[in-house]
Amino acid sequence: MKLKLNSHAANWVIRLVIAIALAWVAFRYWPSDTRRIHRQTKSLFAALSKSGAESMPRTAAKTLEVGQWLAPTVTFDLGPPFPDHIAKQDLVRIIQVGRARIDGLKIIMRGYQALRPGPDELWLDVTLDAILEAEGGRTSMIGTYRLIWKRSDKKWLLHGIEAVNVIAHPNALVP
Amino acid sequence: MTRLKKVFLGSNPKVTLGRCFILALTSFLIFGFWLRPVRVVGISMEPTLPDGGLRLVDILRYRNHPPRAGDIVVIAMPGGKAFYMKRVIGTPGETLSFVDGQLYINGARMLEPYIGVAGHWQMPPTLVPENHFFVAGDNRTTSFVGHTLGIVERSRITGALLQ
Repeated sequence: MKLKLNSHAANWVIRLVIAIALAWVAFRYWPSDTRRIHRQTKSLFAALSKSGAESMPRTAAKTLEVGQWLAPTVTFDLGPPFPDHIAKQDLVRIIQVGRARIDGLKIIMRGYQALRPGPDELWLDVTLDAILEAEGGRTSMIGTYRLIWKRSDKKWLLHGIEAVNVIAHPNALVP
Repeated sequence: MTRLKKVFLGSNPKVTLGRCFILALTSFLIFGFWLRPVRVVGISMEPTLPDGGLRLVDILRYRNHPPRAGDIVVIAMPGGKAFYMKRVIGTPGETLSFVDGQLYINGARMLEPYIGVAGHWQMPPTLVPENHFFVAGDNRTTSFVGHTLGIVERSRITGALLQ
């Protein structure tokens, strides 16, 4: 079979490709709360990440960056050893100490799904791939978490983190 | 330069562009809506699926029928860009248990030819609810607590591994 396209048809193909590309760009970058939270979450994980040794001022700056997105109290539903809730300043301190102790941390978002329970609340279910380097070792883990973002004074803050069990382990089913 | 241009674009560049578009569209349809290439990460499905291997997932397999026991399925994580790859060992209504690594379904001892070493998993009888499936990896040498296994919703199962 021989495929033949005349120049008129080829022009239409080019126009179609350009139209699809423009529609994709508009869809991808159209501003919305979900996209804003997605970008904010990516920035949060970028601030938490660490590549190699870093100076104390840099650690402090990164921790401050994380702190700007945290609510005064952050609740956890991750099971032991995590507490039920923790005050922002305590969490910031834990992050600062933790960052100083590890050699490297890379957090990659492998996808997300947004849920909107209310106009000022947005849940972001994220699949996270984390690579931790500490004490000469390297550990990789993948998991799914729900990040609870709430809007107050036009600012979205992280209020809670919950584990999302896609596969319910039998141990979790036993009352 | 003209020769190089002719090699890449052919004697009629618009026709070449049209062919490239059709090829890209066909690839997009096949690999986007039917067969999805995935890389296996981790050891939970060894020895069947070694770590690092490239596989194809048939995402249309369960459009018309539910997964069957023994199928290797992919389970979507939020966002649909990462998946768990597990074997279905229990279907709705069945009661599963592990006694010293041996799988029992509705009290009957099951043969699992796909596993290498049986391991020592222990699990009390667990009923698989309607519209749910029990999945586990083939590598039973890992600890029961650390292994990702258990009950998953039917809607999370998005395809089957092409074997």
